[in-house]
Amino acid sequence: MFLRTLVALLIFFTACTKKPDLKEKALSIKALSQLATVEYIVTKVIKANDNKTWFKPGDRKILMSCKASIIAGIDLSKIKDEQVNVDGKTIRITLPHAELIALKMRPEDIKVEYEGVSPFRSSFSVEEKNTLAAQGEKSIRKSIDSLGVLQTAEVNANLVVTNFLNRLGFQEVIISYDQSKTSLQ
Amino acid sequence: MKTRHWLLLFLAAIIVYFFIKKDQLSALFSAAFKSQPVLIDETPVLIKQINDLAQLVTISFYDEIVMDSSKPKHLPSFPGLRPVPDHIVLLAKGTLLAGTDLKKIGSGNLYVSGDSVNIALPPPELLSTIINPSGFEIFDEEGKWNSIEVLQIKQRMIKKMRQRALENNILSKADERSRKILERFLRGIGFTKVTFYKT
Repeated sequence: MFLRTLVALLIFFTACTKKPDLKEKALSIKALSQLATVEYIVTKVIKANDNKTWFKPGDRKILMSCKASIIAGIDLSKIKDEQVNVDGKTIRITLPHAELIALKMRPEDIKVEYEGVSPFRSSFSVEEKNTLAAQGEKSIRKSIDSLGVLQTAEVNANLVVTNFLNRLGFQEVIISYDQSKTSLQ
Repeated sequence: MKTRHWLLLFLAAIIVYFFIKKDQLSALFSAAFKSQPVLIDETPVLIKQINDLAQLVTISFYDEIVMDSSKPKHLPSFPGLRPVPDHIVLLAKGTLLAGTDLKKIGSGNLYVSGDSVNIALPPPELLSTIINPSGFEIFDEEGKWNSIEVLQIKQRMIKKMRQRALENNILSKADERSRKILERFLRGIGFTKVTFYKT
């Protein structure tokens, strides 16, 4: 009897693990007003060495290459009515500063170039490789400012808007950027 | 006999204590035997190409997809035993961007007459499907999966996401919104009559 109670107790305490729920979430659709003006195609080498854990003998090394696309432009919804002035064939328009629209890293653009695993270690799992690629993605995101993507996006926005307004009949197009906010850091 | 009962009671108390305090005990144990995270080295980001765009991005569609895949294990089978197949479950969170490519408005697709403007707006497009590594979660992974197999699953997920976006009429929504944005802009710069037509 006592033994049975003991076994029941053990089963009770060990069986209480919650099973995670995996469901596809509802879709969400959002309205945007962005004018994408530039796309930078960048590459990066993802290099990692797993030799920091004291109780794991040997090491594992991996070298991956990846390509990403950085898309930037301006948000047209931020242009206020008072920021557009028309005077005959002359138009003055104040544009908002450029911002990042998307960073895209396609799965086919991430490649494992080299993998070295010591005899006592297991090779990198799919999850581990994905985590390393995610670190690479984060690093690319961090470098956006230094790559000058936003500056180029503003230069191109000038050209796109000027060209469009010229085609609409404006002979002089004067573009400036909103001084109240500076997105270029 | 009594001693045996007391011994079992004592043992039960230890086990119950362990389960109550298991978080603290396991934290102590796991701190000592915790694997260090594998961090990537700092390497430069190189610019390969710069493309000029003129895309009006009008709709963003967020979606989550779950996909699993199985394959037989490459192990010798024993009579009466069926080997458990290799199994992988992936969860992908991504965004699709749709809108209009303004570069496709050719010289003959825009007519201005006084305060009226007629524009032949190019058809809406799925401009980008974005599922980055940070958007993929490997929920379950059993057995060996090579890069090509995983890539194929990920590509199927991207295809499914695009399909779901199209089923949700993302293109017609993007088209409608592109017209609305352009009309608002054109009216804001003085045009009183704005007409869109199909090429």
